[in-house]
Amino acid sequence: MRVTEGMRYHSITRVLSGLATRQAQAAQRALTGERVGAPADDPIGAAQLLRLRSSVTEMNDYRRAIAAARGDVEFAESTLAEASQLVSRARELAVQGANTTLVSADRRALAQEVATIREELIRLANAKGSRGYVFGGTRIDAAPFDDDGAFSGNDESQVLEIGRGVRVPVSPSGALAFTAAGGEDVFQVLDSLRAALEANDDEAVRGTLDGLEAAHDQVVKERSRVGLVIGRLTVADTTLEHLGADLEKQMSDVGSADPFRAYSEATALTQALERAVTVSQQILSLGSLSRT
Amino acid sequence: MAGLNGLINTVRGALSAQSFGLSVTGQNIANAATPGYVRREAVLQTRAVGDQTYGTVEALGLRRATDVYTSRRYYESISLGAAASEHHEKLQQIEALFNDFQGAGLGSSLDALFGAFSSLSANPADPATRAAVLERAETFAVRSNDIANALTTQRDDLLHEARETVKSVNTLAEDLARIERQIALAKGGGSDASDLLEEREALLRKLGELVDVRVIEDGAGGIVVQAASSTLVEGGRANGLGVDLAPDGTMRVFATPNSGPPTEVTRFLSGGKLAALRETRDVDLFETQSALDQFVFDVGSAINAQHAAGFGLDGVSGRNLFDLGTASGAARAVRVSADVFDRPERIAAAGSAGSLPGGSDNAVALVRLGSSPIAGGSTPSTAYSSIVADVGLRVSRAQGEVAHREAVHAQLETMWQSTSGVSLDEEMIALSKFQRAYEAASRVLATVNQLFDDLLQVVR
Repeated sequence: MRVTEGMRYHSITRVLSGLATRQAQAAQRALTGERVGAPADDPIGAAQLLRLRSSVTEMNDYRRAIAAARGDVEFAESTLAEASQLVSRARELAVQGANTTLVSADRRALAQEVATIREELIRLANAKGSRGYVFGGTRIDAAPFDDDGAFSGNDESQVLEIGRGVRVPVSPSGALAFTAAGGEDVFQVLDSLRAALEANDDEAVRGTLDGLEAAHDQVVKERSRVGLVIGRLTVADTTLEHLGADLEKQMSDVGSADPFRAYSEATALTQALERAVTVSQQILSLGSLSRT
Repeated sequence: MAGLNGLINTVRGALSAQSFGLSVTGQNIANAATPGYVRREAVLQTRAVGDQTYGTVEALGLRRATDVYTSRRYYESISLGAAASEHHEKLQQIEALFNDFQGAGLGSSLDALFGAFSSLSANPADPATRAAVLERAETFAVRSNDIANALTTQRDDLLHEARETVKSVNTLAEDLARIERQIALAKGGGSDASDLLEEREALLRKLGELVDVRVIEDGAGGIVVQAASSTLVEGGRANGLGVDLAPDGTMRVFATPNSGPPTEVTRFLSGGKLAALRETRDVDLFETQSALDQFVFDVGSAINAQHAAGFGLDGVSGRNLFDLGTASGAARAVRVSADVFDRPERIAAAGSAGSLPGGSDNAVALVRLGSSPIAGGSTPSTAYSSIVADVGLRVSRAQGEVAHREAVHAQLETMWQSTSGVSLDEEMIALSKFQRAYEAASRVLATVNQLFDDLLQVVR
């Protein structure tokens, strides 16, 4: 085959530009640590990366939603704890009031305290969290209990998705905790107790004891249900955190360049390019005839 | 038997033939770096005068060291190479639109919308959270519009470029026809027309970059040039190509002969820039655009249906979140629906009027769409990632094609160079050869001269 100058120039140009391109790509990988810079670098990997990134975003969204809902649920739990103590105290007062040795003045004093407890309890039942009234079901925009203890909320619950397809009702139920829907209307029982104490009727006071017991139980029951919700949120959050970390790791497996390999590739190609330049110089200095 | 006079004739022939050789070598050296220049050789031959043996030499002319087969494949590879790199370049522009790795793309904006639904489910009555939902929906719509508009603009640009390309093809065809006529004239006048042939080849190369070119020798020294299976130049006359739009918006290429009706040759386009422009415009861009439209339509419709099922804070249901139009063109048309635009309280977070304002059933259902098979049987993120992967595959296929064409072209370039290229080493040797021969012939002349002198001296 005849070898011409044109052939030499052409092949040198081609080899050098090819090497320079590959070297630049390898250097880019080594520099950024990213293997997939554009979809064409690895279409399948790129699609996988996008899906993974979308899943990571999804996990973070769930976690953010959990964090946002959690505050109010925890607040409700502590409010119910307080409420159960108040009801428990009312029951103690009832036990005292049922004692036949008490005189009417003592019972009036007790009635006074029961009235205070009732007021305090209504205040607690109308507690307001970050998103509105905590015990009104989904009626978060109006106080669920009036001064007479009449309930104007509902027994609907806000739901939260805390993982794919996992829904949790997160609203504490004021209806179940304080109204007849839970078995006993707490405020009515307290009213009866106060009335009985004021009437100095130890028999009637004794009659409220069962109701108070039930009221206490139902507040505690709702408290523990809310506690379970908090537990679920906590577990879900931890799970999501681990899942997110797993996904991030997968993303890095798919999308990141192995630093050692990227570096050695870049180095090897740089050296190859240098060698090619040297050889090119030698080739171009051939043809001594043409220089005489 | 020839005498001294005959020898003088021989030397005269030698001097003129060697200087012709020198001039051809000079042409070769001068054009050593001219692209497409075909090496020339001086054709020398001994000349007989009658039945006398003078043994003198004459220059018959030039021979262009060219090989029809290699040249034809060379043009073809120019066409295919130009098509491949044009295709790759244009596809990279599309790829940039779907490159979610550099900054936020459509996929991330959709993720953000589902994130906003998630926040809404955690805080359904909060005005700021509701406003965020609207803002994310707006971002998704705008980003979708941007990409769709960019795709449309690119299709328009490609059509424009195709028209320009066809114009250049037609100009080149005219030039080729003119050269052909000149070549015919020159050959008729006994010239070898080497320089005209050179010009013709340069034109053919340029033409090959624009459209697939087939060159057929007509047996009389002329050529027939075919592009897209239609005759572009024949017998020194040029036909043309034309471009228009079919009713469905695709591009059509026509052969427009001087006489007779135009015929469509779109499907015969196989190389050159024109083929790449058509392929990118009517295959790649079209398919990508359709996939994007379908994706936006499917996702938008599913979100609309779920949103319409829920209730806004005003207790009204049945409102869409997006205006979508029809499936075709949805990516370009999508907007936040006028029903909810700027009215965050109308976002339907609650699943029933009774659960207002704290109900979040519908917000949760909207969140769940993000992981439901609502886009052609896939989740939105899977569907979007497969659009991106598809674009990526197109680019990487085109990249592969470029590499393949470059390799083929390099091989043909080598073959072509091997036959037709100028080797300076060879030319330097030829230079010495003709120079020495010329010197020797001069010496012969001097000798003859001396002999004549001697003879005249004797006679005197």
